Amino acid sequence: MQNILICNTTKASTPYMIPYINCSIYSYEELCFFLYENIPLLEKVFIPKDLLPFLKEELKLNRLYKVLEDMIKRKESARNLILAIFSAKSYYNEGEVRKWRGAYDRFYQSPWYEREKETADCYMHYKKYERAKSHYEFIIKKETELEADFLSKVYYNLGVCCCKQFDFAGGKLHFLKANEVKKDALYLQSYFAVLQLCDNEAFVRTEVREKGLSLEEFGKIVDEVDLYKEEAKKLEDAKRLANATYHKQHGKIGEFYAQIDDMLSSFKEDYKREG
Amino acid sequence: MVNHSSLYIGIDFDQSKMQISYYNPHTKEIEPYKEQKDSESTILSIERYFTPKNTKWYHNLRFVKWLKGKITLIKEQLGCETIGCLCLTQKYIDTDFYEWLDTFAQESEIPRERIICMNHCNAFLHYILGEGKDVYSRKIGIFDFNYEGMEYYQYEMANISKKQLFALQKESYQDKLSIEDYRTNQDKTMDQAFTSIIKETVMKEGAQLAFLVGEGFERDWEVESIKLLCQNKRVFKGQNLYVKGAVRAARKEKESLLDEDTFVFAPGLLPYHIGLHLSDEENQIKWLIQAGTPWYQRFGQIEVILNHTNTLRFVQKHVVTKEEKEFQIELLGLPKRPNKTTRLEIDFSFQSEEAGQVLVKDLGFGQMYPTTNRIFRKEISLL
Repeated sequence: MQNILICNTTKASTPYMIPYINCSIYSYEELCFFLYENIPLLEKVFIPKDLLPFLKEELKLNRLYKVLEDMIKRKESARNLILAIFSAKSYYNEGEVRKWRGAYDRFYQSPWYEREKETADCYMHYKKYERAKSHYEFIIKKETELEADFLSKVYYNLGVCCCKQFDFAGGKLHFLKANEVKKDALYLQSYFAVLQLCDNEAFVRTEVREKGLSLEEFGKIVDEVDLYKEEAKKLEDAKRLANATYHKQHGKIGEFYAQIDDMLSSFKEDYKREG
Repeated sequence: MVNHSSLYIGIDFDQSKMQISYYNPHTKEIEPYKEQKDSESTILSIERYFTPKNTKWYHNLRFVKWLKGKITLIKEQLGCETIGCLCLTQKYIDTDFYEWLDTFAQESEIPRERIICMNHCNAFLHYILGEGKDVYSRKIGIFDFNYEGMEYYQYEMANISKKQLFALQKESYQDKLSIEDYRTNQDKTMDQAFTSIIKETVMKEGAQLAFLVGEGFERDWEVESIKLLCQNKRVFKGQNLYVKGAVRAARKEKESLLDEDTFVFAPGLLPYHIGLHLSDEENQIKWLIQAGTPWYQRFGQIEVILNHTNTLRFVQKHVVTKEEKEFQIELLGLPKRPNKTTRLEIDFSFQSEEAGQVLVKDLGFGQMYPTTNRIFRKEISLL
């Protein structure tokens, strides 16, 4: 096995943007890695005609460009086009390509709800929470006769998506639902972590009693949330907020509003990217 | 391929003196440039630009303009349209001089890719190879009596594994013969000392040819020693050995003598091949630097991707002895990434033919796994 791969390919000056993911691709190796690791997304994001000019003009892969161009004219499948991309260089060896072929075929032979979940999981990895949620919700809406283990994971991931979008009410709801479908300490802990973060103490204590969480377990959750709060203070946004607060406290209202506007614009951009 | 409408020119700097030679496409000879046509002297004084304490004297723009003028004059005299290649040679070349060539190219309006440089040893090798197999296949002794004193170079060619090796080894006799001895006319003392040096060197090594070069041989003081030297060998004395070698190098347009079938071992050149192991199990090596490359050259960077490893293993192999040494760089502290998503840039640089370093920079993997900008550094010894 070759432990060191020599890169002798051109790097793009203008990257290729994977659609719906907003992931920039600068090299042949990055393209291969993306195609290899994201089978569930390929149906949506692999658009060969859009990719061709990038391969030719930016990556200077003229031979591959010609091969793919001919294959597209012959209306070859996406699977075969991707295999041609893998075969152009030796980023992936024969064994790895064979493994990918197997995984690709297995994905498309699996039940629709498994494909939906894997697609949603991929979107979550790329922080596309809205898209992930739409796939999770589609599963929940369409199919009721699902295995508890599978369904609980769908609810749980949906809860995570909600929390990532600061929808803590949604997060709590889905974590609880996940635990109802199948009892799991992780689901309950996540529910209580959200509670600890955003609800009043009295309500939290009531819930601890009603859900039968031990004090020890609850103590651990409190400690963990406190730790995250401490770590959050070190983040850039926390520092900017502290800076803005300082301005306000010292009567520099103009600077205060400028800082807040800046932060809000940046949050909006992040939200749009993660949409 | 040599273009006859192009000028191929060599320039030898020797402290405050300079020589220019060029290939005359009409006579098909290498000819020296003379300030005055009727004069025998081919030495140009650059005293007004050169100061011994200022090691970067060539940065002087007036000097560059003056040199540019000389080159243009020669080009016009020969009716050449372009500069095919310009080769600059001096005793030592360092990275400052090498990098100065970019400035020189800009100021002189000669394309950078047509300017090469080499030290005197390399220029000598080009000279000898240009003399034909009858010469370069022999053992040769070179006595260079320069501003640092007497130096002896032993040249020989060997066939190793179906390849040719051209080796030049240096010995210093500066303690026996200094340039001050020459400049203060200590002729008799010098003659005696030189006799002793000849016995230790060319007589002992059995050299068949001898060359005498350098300021210290401008005057004929070697009365008795030359008789000993001339026994059973041909002796050549002259000051244009290096500049002729530079012209020959310019005509080949090679900064080194390296090709698939030759290796070179000489002062100023790296004595080791350096390679990177591509596999832990199989003996797959990617040779990154070839022995015989001038140490001051830019080597360019190579980019690699890690596959189930966090270690780079390098090997250095001596061009003559074939001795192999390994060194490795453990890439500690890189973030955990999926396999094949750590791209590294490997960059070699040297301070001399004895020492250098390799820098390995983490490039990450595009936007997916951003770089940490971490740089790993390893010193390399080529002794």
